[in-house]
Amino acid sequence: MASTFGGLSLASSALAAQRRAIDTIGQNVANINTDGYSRQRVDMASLNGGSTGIHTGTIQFGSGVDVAAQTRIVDTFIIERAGRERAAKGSADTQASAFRRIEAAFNEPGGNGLAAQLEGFWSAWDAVVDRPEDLGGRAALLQKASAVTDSFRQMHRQISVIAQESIQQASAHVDDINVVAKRVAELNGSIAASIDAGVTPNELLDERDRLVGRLSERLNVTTRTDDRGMMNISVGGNSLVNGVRSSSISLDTSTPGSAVLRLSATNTIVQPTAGSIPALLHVANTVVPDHLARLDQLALSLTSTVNTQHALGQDLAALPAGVGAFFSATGAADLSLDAGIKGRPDLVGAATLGAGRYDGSNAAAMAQLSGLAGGPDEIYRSMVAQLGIDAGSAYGRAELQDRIVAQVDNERMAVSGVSLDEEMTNLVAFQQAYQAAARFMTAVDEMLERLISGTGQVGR
Amino acid sequence: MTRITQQMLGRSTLSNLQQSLSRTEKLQEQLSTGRALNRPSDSPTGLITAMQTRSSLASTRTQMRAADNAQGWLDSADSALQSAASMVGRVRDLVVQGANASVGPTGRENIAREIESIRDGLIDVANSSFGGRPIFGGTSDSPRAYDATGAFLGDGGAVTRTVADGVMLPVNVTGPEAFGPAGSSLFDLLTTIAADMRTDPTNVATNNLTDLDAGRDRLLASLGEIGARSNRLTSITERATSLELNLTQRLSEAESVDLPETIMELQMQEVAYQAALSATSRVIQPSLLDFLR
Repeated sequence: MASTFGGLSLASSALAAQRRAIDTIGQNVANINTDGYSRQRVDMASLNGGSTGIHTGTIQFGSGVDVAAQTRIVDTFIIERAGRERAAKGSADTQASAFRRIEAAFNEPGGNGLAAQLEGFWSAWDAVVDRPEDLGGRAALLQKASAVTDSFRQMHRQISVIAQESIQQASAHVDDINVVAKRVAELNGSIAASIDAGVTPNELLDERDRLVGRLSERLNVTTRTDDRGMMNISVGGNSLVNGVRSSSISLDTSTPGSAVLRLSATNTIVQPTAGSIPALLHVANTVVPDHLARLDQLALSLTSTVNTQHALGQDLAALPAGVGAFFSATGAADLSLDAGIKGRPDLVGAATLGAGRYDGSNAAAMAQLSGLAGGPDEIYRSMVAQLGIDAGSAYGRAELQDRIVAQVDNERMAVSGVSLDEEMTNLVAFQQAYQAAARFMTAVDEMLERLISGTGQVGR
Repeated sequence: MTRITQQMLGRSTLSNLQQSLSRTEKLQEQLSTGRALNRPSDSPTGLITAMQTRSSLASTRTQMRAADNAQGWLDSADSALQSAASMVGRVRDLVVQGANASVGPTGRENIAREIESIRDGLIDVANSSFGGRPIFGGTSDSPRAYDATGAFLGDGGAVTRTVADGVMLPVNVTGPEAFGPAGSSLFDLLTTIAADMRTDPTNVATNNLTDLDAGRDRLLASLGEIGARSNRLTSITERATSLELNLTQRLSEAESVDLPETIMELQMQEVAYQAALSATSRVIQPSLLDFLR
């Protein structure tokens, strides 16, 4: 025995260690549903009590137990992988939602899409064939034509809006990133201070991991933790957080159609490859302009096809100079009836130039254009089919990435998640150890009691 | 061994239930809209079929409507030409009758008058219209094909109807085609006959009868032409009707849901959902806590 009262201090170290373990279980159970919480464990080590003493000779006695560390159980590789997969999920989700909206703008297949409007337009020409002299039929044709141009303009508007909103959303995400980066830098300071003081700041580490997870959803980052526990974060080779300093990123939308991220301090272009922000920029810079360009191409094809045929026609007045244009457009946004023909059904070139006034052969030829190989209807059909393929694969990617993230989350939880069964088992073990240590203390106490108050009373 | 935690159980249960519900939602959308194709991504290839079929269906229907209109033109022309032919037949009888020497000048005067009135009736027939358009007037904007003197007011334009893909069926014969060219038309001929009847009865029996027969042959040729087109139109219409049926079926195959199959899938999905729910209620509840005192 190291000292007379050594037993008491041994018992007290045991009580303290078991209490600490039980408190840790309490903390784990309390945080079982906390997002990003990593379970903690108390690492105990037996205390060596030294070996010198009058009665002990060279035999060593332990002098109790010590809590060597309270560790957070995490697998940093899984956390890094989760970050990468989250970034990919951010991209996939963003693209999928953009495609969902583009699909909604097309409103196909069905009776309300552009295909149906075009059918109505062509068949209105056929009605004019039946009665070229009837101004009502001609007016109905102009009205169907206006419905087609309205559809074009509406689709153009609905799709353009997606780009604008993507930019707004990206800008909100950039603001969020700057806040998070700043917070990570602050946490780096606190964590380094704690580690320098010899304390493991488990909760701060958890929070930092959670924040980095949030960053990863927005853009893919690479992280490196230095020997003081500070995490340095970089995006596309540019430092975002370096120790306790963070840089801020801004969204540069000065060139329409090519919005980029820049480091605010140096104006360097930052190019993350995955995450919701690059995906939003991709939607605004590429996906939407592509679809608008296809729509423009379709509008121009319709305009030139109809105008070419219309130019062969002659209006009701049978002027030898023929007729003017039918549509005018520089793109889908401004496709409209030509100003000359608007409100003037008599100017529709239903007759072939030089034929009788009530001839309808040019209108008949016009109606036949609905089946023109490579004509507007065919262009539109292949455009919608291409959209279907693109959208389908975007949804597929989003679903797959969803599953991958769930899988990685599961792996993280398998390592770091709290299991109630495990905690309860440990609770029973530590509780019993605590009770036993208390019993031991009582025993030591009784022994000392006997020694102190019983010594010298022999024979009384 | 992988540790399984309560949170993992909870999350995977939730995501399984979610997947099951989202499949149910898809099936319900199909059932309530009655369509398997609700957006392009549901089936890009099916979409092309559906859109093409839809467009063929629309143009077939337009062509069927045009065929109805064409039938109207042809029927009007047919009945007009029939009555014209019978009028000419009557004139021929009168001419033969008038050529007979036993008919005196009074009788010939009467015959001449009747022929003149038949001529007016023939002009009325030649002015028959369909849908407000004189059927023998070509593509002209004149409200009548012939004026009271028998002068042609129309033009030689063909009125055509697109009754099938690439088939532009002419539905009119022009006045000169049916009633003879200006100057030697049936109307002119009848005027001459009426005049000859009064002044030169011998000419009536010889030259005029030949001319009249030529005019009648021209009428009958037009009638035959109209009849042939009408037959052609009938067979085209029959084909279009069966094509329409066919296309409607194809469209429904491409776009509509297979009701029994979808309902069965929905029921299977419901069973799966309930199974997942009951499994969840069993798995999630117990933990060691339930067994520790």
